[in-house]
Parts: sequence; structure tokens; C-alpha cells
Amino acid sequence: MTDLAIILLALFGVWTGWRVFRVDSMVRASFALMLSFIATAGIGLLLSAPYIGVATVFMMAVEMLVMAIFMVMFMMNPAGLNPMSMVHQHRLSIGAGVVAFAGLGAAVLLSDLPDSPVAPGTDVVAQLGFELLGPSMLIFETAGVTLLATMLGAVILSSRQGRFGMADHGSRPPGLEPGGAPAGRRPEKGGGHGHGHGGHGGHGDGGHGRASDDHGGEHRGHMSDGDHEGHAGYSPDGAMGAPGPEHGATHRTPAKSEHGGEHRTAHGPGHAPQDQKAADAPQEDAAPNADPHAHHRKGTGHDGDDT
Amino acid sequence: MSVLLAAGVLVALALGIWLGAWFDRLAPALEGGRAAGPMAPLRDWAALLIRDQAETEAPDRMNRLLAPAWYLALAAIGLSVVPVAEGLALWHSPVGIVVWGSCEALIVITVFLHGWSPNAPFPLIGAYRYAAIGLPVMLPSMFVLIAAALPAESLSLIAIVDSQRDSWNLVRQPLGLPLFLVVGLTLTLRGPLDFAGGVDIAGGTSAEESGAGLFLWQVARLATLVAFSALAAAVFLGGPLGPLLPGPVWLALKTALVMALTVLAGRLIARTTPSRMLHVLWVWLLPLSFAHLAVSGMVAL
Amino acid sequence: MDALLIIAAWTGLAALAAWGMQRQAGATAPLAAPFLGGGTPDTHAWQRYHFRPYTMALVFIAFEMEMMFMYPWAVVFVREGAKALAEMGMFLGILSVGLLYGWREGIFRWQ
Repeated sequence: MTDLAIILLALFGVWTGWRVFRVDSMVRASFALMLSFIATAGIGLLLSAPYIGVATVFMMAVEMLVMAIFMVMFMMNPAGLNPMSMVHQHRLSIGAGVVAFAGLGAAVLLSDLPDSPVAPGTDVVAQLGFELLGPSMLIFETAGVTLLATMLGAVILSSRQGRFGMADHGSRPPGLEPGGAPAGRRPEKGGGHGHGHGGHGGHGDGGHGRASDDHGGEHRGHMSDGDHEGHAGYSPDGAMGAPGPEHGATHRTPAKSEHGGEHRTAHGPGHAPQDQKAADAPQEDAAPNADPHAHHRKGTGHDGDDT
Repeated sequence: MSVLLAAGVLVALALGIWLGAWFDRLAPALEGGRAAGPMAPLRDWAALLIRDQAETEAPDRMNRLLAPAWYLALAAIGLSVVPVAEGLALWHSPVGIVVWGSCEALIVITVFLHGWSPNAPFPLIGAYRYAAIGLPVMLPSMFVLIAAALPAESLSLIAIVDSQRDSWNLVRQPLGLPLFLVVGLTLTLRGPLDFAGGVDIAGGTSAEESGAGLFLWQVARLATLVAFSALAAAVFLGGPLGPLLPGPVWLALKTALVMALTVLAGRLIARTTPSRMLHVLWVWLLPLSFAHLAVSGMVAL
Repeated sequence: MDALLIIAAWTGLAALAAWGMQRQAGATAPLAAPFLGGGTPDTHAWQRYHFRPYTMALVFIAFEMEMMFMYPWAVVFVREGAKALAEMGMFLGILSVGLLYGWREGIFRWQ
């Protein structure tokens, strides 16, 4: 019975692991991977490792959520509306897969696996605790230092605001094409205002007040919650002062190319007052992938700011 | 035996859901509003159930349908590790509080999926800002539950209840229940920590929901309220321990008390922005949980 | 085994309930369009999303991993006494440095 459960869980784990590479969305992929880990955790439960098993679920749930969030934040096509392939470098990956499978399989088949069932009533969690405080104490404390290094590294590498002002102050994003104008943000000139509007950090409220901050200040260009709502009251076309008929009120057409080109020419260093607002436009026109479904992505909303 | 116990848990969960819904309809009386009778929640639900569930544009159908179900299932799983009488739980887990922690983490994911799947802006905003708050809220929860495990010398809820024969954890670890209520408010999407929903984003993750989907989501929220309250009652109020009355009755009474407390806290504490709440969680509540654990450790020694 | 049965039973029951209750209405295009308080959306909702407290999420992962060591520690705390207190104090002390640093760099708010 237990054997059957382990086999079923293993199959479920393999199937969800396979799904990771078949689904069209980073969110689905992350949570398919989480299901795979949960199946592994179930096997851990059956192998009398209750703490390791349940802790796996706990850790993986949290980590896959953060991974999903970061994937959606960084990838060009995270959504699941466009078809997407998660598989690259076919030959190399097939080779690596075969080698890994053969190696692990050989290790399982050839090694002399221990057979020492845990006596019922053993407090395995307490054993783990004694191990942690006794023989493995140094490993445990080293893990603390490693995690501290992780935290510091994460803060140093990713935090935007800090003691010394905005981390991206004075930085220029790469051009949309080689040698082209910087994507997303207006290059700063002299007393540019790129770093003056960081104050919204303390009072952002999940989308409401921040829309204006984003558009007025730091043209970060991410698809932020601010953007969602911001468009209700703020239209890039209105800011351009040239709402052409083809991209009128609703942006129904996914006509990105001419739309984007127009903005990009109009946009450049030196068009001071109008340009500050216009700088929003190119980043939104930089949608790299045509959407065959054309649901309600109306030609805008993507960003070219690959931070 | 197990089947009987499971049926009992299911009935208790159903009754608790109804009681929680009634508490929610009673609570407006505190602010001078009208309190409703005990039948009001049933009428609300019936009205929801006869409505259609409107389709959204290109949704993730599977997750949209199942997110409320996962939420409900996690509440039931969390409730299963709570001892209903001395030494008796549906799931005798030696790591009960870790199981509950996993349920918390998966609830955050479920709420995220609920907001993500309809493919609409307001639910999506709700999903992301809930994730931002739901993740760090797990830290005080872990600290509080670990502190409760210290005197019990076990992660099992049965042992934790057993360790409270002399004095409840509420007395030994007075900060525990208030900190844990914050966790409860987050898990049940209530009041100041309901960043998934809320009128400021037109209902948040539920903005596109109607009919049976909305019904099930509301029921799942209440089921989580029941599970959370039962767990809090077991960890801080001695669970089924008590004189005269049988254990399950004591547990039910204490659970109802914590439910009422949670509903009250949800009504009385003001909302703030998620950014400020994030700051409060990390800069105030986390050090407070540290201190709570340190004090509990000293007391346990 | 019991544990897995309980989990599977609750999950299956809840999923069945959701599946049995659903009454999908075929929505017309205006009804299916996402609610935006009267506005029409310029984007679909699954695009890239700037999750503001992203540094917090990374620090949280590291901190949570550390918390996982505390569960087995809690079980043996009373039996090990002062030794357990000292070791976990050191461990948490090391990690608090990371938190203090993060606080000083302002990561515990929207970026």
C-alpha cells in the first residue's frame, strides 16, 4: 500500500515536472514545479521523515511564489496568452538529461542501499535537533553566515533605494536597436529629475496614488500596478498631443510598429517639457511579441526597460 | 473511527462557517449599523448560488474554478491537525505546527492564483499586494508557533495542548495571541490585512467573481477563520482542556471566542497602505516576535 | 499514509464541490471585459508586473530558510538548555545583521 502510494506520488511528481516545460505561463510553470515538490514531500512523509517532508512543502510553496513573481517581473512573455517554449538547446539538454538519468539510475541500482526502518515512536524531529546543536553545530552556524551573505547580496544587488540615493541614478538603459535611443527612460541631462521622485516609496498604496508618481518621475516602465490604473486617467496619446485615428480611445488594434515608430522619433533628448511625459510612450510601444489572440492587449503596456 | 472523526470535523467546519458568517453580520451593530439574524448568511448564500458565474476574457479556467476549492481544502487540512479532545486529532501529525505553516504558505499562493486567474487588472493588483503582505506575515506566525512548541518540547499540537495543563500559553506567552491574530487577519482576508480584496480596488481578487465562485470563496475564507481560530484556541487557550464539559465542547467554545475576537479585530483596526503595512510587519512585528520568542524561551527554561 | 489520505480526501472533496456548483454563463464581450471602473484596459492583466517589494521577497526567502532550522531546535530547547539558547542566539544575531542592513537600505517598503 505504501509502495503504491510512493509510486503514485513519484508519477505525479514526474508528470507535474513535465508540465513545467509544457505550459505557456511562468506562473503555471512555477506552480506545476511546486506540485512536483509537494509530491516529493509526500514521499518524504511516507519515508518517516515528517519534518523534512512538511518543511519541503512549506519552503517550496514560498519559494515558488517568489519565483513566479520574479519570472513575471523579468520575462518578456510571462503571461500565458502567447504560446511559448520553455525548451532551449535541445541537443545539449537531451544529452545532459540522459547522462543525469543514467548516473542517478546507476547510483540507485548499483549502490548498496541501507535497510534500516525507523522504529515506531522514534522522535525523529528531536534527533534532528540534537544533531543540529551537537555534531552539526558548525554547519548550522555556517548556514547562518551564508544566509547573511545571501541577504546582503540580495539587498546590494537589487535594492533600488538606499542611503546614497537611487541605485539607478544616472544609469542609461540600452537602446531598442543597436545605437538607438535608450529604451524606457529619458537620458538625464544636467539637472534631470530622474532621482527626485523616490519619495513615493513610503506611501505607495497598491496602485492608487502611485500612478502619477510613476509617470511623472521615474520612467521605469515596468508593467506596474500603477500602470493598470494609471491609464484610466492618463493616456500616452493625450500626453503626446497627437492622438491619431488609428490609436484612438480604445487601442483596439495591436498596431504596434507604426505606433511605436512615431513615438520614438518624436522622443529624444532635448524636448524638454513635452518630452518628459512623452518618454512614457516608447516604453509602452516596445511590446516585442505580437499577440495572436489580441484579447485586450491593445498595443501598449509592454515595457522596454529590461532591468 | 477516523471516518467518524472526519465527519465530525466536517460538521464542525460547516457550523463554524455559518457562525462566522453570522458574526460578520452582527458586527455592524458595533458601529451603529443593523445586526442581522442568524438566517441572514443562509439567505445571502442562496442568493449567490442561484446567480451565474460570469466568464472573463481569456481566464485561466482551471485555477479560477479551483482556487476557492484549494482555499477550502487548506482550511480543512489545517483543522485536521487540531486535537479535538485530549490526545485525539484527525491527523496525529508529529509536526502539526509545520503542517499549519505549510497551509499558510499555500493559502497565500491560493489567494495569488485567485487574483491571477481571471486575467483582470483589479484582481491582479489584489493578488500581488496580498503576496507582498502574506509572505512576511508568515514570519511572526512561525515565531509564535515555535515559542509555543518550546515548553511542549514537540511540534505536535497534541503535545502543545498537553503542555498547557498547568497554565495556558496565553498566560505564559502573553504576546502570542495578539501576534497570531495578525496572522489570522491575513489568512482570512479580513480588515486591516485584507490586501487581496477591499473596496479601494473594487473587491480585489474577487472583483470579477459572482455566483457560485464568489460563494465558495466566501465560504473558504470563513472556513479558514474556523481553522485558524481552532488552532489558536489549541495553542494559546488550552484547546480541549477544561473542567466539567467534554473536550470538544471546550474547544468549540474557545474557537468561537477566537473567531469573535478576529472578527472584532478586523472591524476595529484601521487599514493602511500595503507599503506602510510592510514596514510595520518587518520593523515592528518581527522584532516583537523575536522578543516574544526570547521571553518564552527564558520562561520555558 | 493517513496523512496523505486526509489531504487527498479534503482536496478532492473541495474540488468536487467547486466543480459541481459552477454555473458558467456565456458572457458577451462587454460583460467579459475586465472591470476597470468604467475605463477600458490598455493591457491584458498577465503581462510583466513590477512587484514593488522585490528585495523584501529575496530577504524573506533567506530569512524563512533560516526559520526552518528553528523547528527542530525548539523541540530540544528545554533539554539542551543554555547551549541551545546560546547557539540560536548566535544564529539569530548573525541574521539580524542582515535585517538591520535591509532596513537601513529601505527595502521594507515599496521600491
